[in-house]
Amino acid sequence: MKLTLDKLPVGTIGRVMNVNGGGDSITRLMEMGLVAGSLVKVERVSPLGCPMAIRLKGTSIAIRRLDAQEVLLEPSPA
Amino acid sequence: MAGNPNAGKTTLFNALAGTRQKVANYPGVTVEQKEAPLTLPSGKTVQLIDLPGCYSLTARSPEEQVAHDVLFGRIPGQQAPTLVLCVIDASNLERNLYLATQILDQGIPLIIVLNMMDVAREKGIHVDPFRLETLLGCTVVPTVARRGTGLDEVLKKIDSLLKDGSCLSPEIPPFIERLPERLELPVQQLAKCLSNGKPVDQRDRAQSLWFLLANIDGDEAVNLPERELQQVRQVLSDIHSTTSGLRKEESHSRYDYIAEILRRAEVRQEDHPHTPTEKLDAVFLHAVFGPILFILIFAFVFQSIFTWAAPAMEVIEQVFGRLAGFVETVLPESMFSDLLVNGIIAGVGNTVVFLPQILILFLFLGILEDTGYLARAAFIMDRLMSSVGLDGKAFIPLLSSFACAVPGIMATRTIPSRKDRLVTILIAPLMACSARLPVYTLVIGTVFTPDQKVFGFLNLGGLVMGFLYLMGIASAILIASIFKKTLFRSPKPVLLLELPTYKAPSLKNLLLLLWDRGLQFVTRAGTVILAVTVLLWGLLSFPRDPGTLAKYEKERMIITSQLEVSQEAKASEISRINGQEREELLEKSYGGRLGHFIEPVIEPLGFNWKVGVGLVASLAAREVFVSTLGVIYGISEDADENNLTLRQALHAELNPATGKPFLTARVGLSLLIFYVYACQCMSTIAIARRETNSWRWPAFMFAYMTLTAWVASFLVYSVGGWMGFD
Repeated sequence: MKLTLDKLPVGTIGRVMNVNGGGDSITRLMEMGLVAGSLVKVERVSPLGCPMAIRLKGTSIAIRRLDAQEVLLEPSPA
Repeated sequence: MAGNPNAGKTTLFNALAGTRQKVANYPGVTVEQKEAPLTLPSGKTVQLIDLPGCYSLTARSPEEQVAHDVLFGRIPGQQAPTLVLCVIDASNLERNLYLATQILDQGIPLIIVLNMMDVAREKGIHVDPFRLETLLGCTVVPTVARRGTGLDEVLKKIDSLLKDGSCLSPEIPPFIERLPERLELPVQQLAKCLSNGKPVDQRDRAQSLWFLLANIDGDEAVNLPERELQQVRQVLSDIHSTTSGLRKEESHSRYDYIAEILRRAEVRQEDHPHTPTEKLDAVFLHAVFGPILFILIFAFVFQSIFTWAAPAMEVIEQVFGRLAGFVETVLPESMFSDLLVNGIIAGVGNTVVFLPQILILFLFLGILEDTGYLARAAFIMDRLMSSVGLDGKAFIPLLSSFACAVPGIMATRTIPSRKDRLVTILIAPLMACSARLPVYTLVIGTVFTPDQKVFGFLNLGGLVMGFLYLMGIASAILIASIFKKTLFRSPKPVLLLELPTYKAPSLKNLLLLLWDRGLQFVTRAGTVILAVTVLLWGLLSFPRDPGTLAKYEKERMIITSQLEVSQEAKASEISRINGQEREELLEKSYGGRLGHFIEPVIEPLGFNWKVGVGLVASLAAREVFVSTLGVIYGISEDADENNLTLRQALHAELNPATGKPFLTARVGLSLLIFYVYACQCMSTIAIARRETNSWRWPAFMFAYMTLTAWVASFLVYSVGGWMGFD
């Protein structure tokens, strides 16, 4: 079972293994530091369930679940 | 001056430029260009250009394209900059260096402004500017722009760099000179093609990398000359790669490169979360309290523009009314004084009256944006708004449009995507604005019994009013999703939203924002509003039929010469004659003829020519419909929606074909529906012109709204007919 960012529980940290897809949202997130090797922490989820707020390289940014599904994490928790 | 959003770029620009800044638009796009003259310590004056905030130079949005074009001197009539200031958030070096190293790649002289040093210190991040300077080979100045610390040093460094222009040789060569193999091959190949046989330099390589990463397909594609586009395609197919493949490669290897810089600069990178922000977010983004606070905050903002702006607007109307009255008494009665009063003074008044709403809305928006709450609001609304294909930030313009579409459309500027911004501008006027209220009140009060109870407790008038509001909202949602599926198709909605740390708003930034928004509205939209007011005045005042004038003058003479009639009776008789004269002059004016002319078009909706004249006149503003009907029915020039005589006159109007009352419930409902949809507002058109920087979108807006209004009214009127209503 592959661990993707959208499955990461709130408050936990994961390490990015790979980012799939080449959509605009994903490329922008990659420019903001969502690249292989980076640590991400799920900070919270919007009251309506989507998007999620993640901590990435010292800033909090929003990511929709659809995009978070494209972010593959290393299987063991970081 | 370039930099990431939230790096304090606006604050630095305001601190350096103050009120000398000028705002214009880049040609052909809605991106703002801010410029200011800057006097250096040496006495030399330079032009400081503020680039739009962006995370990267890779052109995927108009903002990024503009940033790139300015840096490369690709803006027509503008030279490439001699020096670039890149504002960097010292508390967030890793991500901010992404843009800075992209600019370093271009080989343009660069000063890195290491801003927000105080925040970095609080977060336990230690940066040594001198170490960074030697590593990157460019000047680095630490600042705290919010407190004005380090600004003199920035100016001094600009001076000295412009004087000798020398560059230190960097310990770490720029990213572009040490690309990983998978980027090196295509960049080398493309740079050779583009340099036309000359030796390839750093700038050619940087330009080539930019071409390879830019959007070359789809409707947001950048403008590349055909020859260069061909070569980019050729190189991509040679290496069996795609733009998105190369982008991934670039992000990855550039972050590796930045990691090396930070390691060698011995920057301690501890990500201590900002405790006050954590605590505030725990409340503002709480599953239950978050939405409650959201509703309370925006209810407050809405209340302020809907209700609290009203006294200021009344004062403005009174001042212009007094001014008009004064001019009328001073100048002899003539066409010129009429033009001055009903054309020019009215036109300026029509513009200024929007200022309270605009300033109040932008005051709150500025505070919400500066504190960081606006990003949270978008975070909460994203799911709801994206389900209709809109950006989370579109919520605020749409809410504001319930007060007035003009400030609403001005507020769309916070929406990052061009397509989402356009869709929001196009649907904003469907929200029932406050100018529709007088029209709704008059028609509902005339054709229904507003106090009649429905189900024993609901008010019929209120019910109809609520229905009209809902119609607007439901149609806006429907039309937005149609536009998003047809005209503004985008494969996946983009979400680019940073949740910055909460901070206190800056008074200086707020005042400059209000000054800028107010000034822009008056100078750009105001000129259109003034011109249309004068045009409408001309339509409704010319030609002045001499026969009519002579006829009523004679009647007035007869009345005044009667000896046995009391003064009061004379006055009332004269005012009756004046009313009839106005009515007849209006009917014979171009506007009146236009009303007759469009009668065949609006007849299927149940309207007559008098309603037609009202429609033409209410292009000035929807509520003008009411006062125009007042003139047309010979009642008075300033009849309002609660005027009983006007309601009675509307009741008494008979349909010449049937001999029955003209304004039935069926016609009234058709008229109400027409006003739900029709774009009867020149100010909305003027501001849409300003915000989209073209006449194309406002023209489209007017066309689609008028067409929808006609079809909807036609359906209501026809269905009413089939159901047997009069």
